[in-house]
Amino acid sequence: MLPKRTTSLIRTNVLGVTILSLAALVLGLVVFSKASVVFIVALILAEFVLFMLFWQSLRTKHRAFEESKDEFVSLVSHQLRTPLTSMRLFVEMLLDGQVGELNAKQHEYLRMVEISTGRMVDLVSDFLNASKLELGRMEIRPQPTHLEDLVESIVKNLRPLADQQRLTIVYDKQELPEVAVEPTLYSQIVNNLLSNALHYTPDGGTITVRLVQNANGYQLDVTDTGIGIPFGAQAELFKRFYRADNAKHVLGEGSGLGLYLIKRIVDTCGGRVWYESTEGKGTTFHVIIPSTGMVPTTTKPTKQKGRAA
Amino acid sequence: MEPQNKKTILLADDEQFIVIAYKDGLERAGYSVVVAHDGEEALQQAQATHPDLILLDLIMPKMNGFEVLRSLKEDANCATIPVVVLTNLSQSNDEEEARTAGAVDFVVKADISLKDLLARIEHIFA
Repeated sequence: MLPKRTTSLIRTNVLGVTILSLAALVLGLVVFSKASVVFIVALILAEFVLFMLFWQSLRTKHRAFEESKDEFVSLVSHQLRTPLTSMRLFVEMLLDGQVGELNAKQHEYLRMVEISTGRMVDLVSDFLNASKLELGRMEIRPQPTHLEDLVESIVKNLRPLADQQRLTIVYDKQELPEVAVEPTLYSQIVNNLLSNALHYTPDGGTITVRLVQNANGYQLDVTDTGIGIPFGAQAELFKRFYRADNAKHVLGEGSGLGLYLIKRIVDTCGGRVWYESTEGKGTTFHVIIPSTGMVPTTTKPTKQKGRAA
Repeated sequence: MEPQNKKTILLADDEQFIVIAYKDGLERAGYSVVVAHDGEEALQQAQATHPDLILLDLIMPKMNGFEVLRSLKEDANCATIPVVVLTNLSQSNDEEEARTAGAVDFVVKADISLKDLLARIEHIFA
């Protein structure tokens, strides 16, 4: 057993020690003799141990970095959500007329604050999920779910926004058997597709939502009469932060994360996403979840982090 | 609602604005509200007032929500009070940990409207 100080010295300078012992190995080979055979074998073994130590320290550092990144994102999203929570609660109370009557203009403006707050809340979730995906921490824990109910509630939530933009959402709900999905992830897919459709469809347009069961699984189609996706942009569309040129001219910012997230979620859970689009005419997105449901992620026991107050 | 029939809810959260909003919303819905601003106070208030339901934040000074939850479940007088974790943490292991510790529901504050929260509370009382 080496003294503690020596081992810690080797650990911290493991790369240097590796290079030095490699040099000694080369020297031993050059001045080859019977004695040096033993020496070389010993060095090769030492090399192996050192290399493992070096590899280990690299991996530890990498993991520590990934973990700090993860903690950072979860801290930031928590910090953003706290003020957003009180904003949405107070706006909701004001809009309900619980704190007094509002005039039409006040109501209209507060509605816009409410919509913007909702958008921020969704964005924070998108960033949080994108970060989890990057770190391989997206967890899929499917539970029996009626997809048509999820779709219906999202459509219902978005109707006021659609009305404001004079857009029509058509959803002909069809009863389907339960399927095992992670409801938050499926909702995020539907929500992102519908938000995009609302965002990129000019006034007076129509968004048609269809959810059916077929041989491939559960297929969701979202068709809009929007600006469409330019042919040149189609290869890049699912890339992170990518936004098509014509999308940049539409009023209001997009994060460029929505479709990227959808693609990653669908790929991770064993489904498929694709689309057809004609620029200036509209787009249809299709998402298929396999009949057997979302493929669960193998859950590794996650280490509990210390929680500061 | 008659005052003696009023259900009491303990609201444990250290965020001043959020406390104002929830307290107002819950009182308008006919509940009587007791507020605690940190984990230790939450535990003391729960033992002293024995509320019908606890809305518990996770990140609080002095004692975090998980610790409060575990202490409540170990206390024979408080173990049966339903606890809804109301937080802005949303890692799936947070939810799992809270539910394992005995929370009946786990709600992400930023994601839920007051109306939906009231519906979930009503559902627990039903």
